[in-house]
Amino acid sequence: MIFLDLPSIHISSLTLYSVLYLEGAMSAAASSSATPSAAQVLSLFRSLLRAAREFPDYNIREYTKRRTIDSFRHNATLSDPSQISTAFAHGKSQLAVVKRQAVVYSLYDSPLRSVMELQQVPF
Amino acid sequence: MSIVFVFAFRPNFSILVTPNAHLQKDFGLDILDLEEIVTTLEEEFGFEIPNNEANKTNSIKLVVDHIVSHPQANIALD
Repeated sequence: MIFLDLPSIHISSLTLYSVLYLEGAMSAAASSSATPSAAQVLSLFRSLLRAAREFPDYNIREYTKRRTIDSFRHNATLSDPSQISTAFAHGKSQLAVVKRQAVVYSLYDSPLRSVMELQQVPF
Repeated sequence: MSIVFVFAFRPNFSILVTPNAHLQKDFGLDILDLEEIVTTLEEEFGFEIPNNEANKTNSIKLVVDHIVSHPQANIALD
């Protein structure tokens, strides 16, 4: 018989995430003033993709990458400066969340790995 | 080999991948696609490409040359 040992970290991690998310949302609302340049937007995009690599869990890592790419694609059509500023500020807050959550997840990393992470032999 | 895999998963590539193929003009990639490719290359070969160097990699040949010439690039040559 297998007993699943579910540590309390799952609950505390979820709570931490929601707190950080709210904190990020508040900082985003506060700092959405200046319109970012194209270089700043691209820098944020790359920073998010790089930060996503730090997640030890394959599914979260790939989800973060996919979500980043989809969000930037979706917001690529924005033309209103205030909307661009708001989206940029939200992205910056999400970057902070990703960085902090990556640290939390690495502290409580599972030894189990996804089958997708197996090294494939080139054909 | 890995570079081929990076481009292989992009749909609608009817053009032949040649060394001089331009990423934006020939493949129709936009700036987000290029950033995605750069970060994928970083992950694949284990080194960081600075923002000022990323703009120089416009063609397949330039990408390959940049990786091969990089001292920290993790390349397994068969």
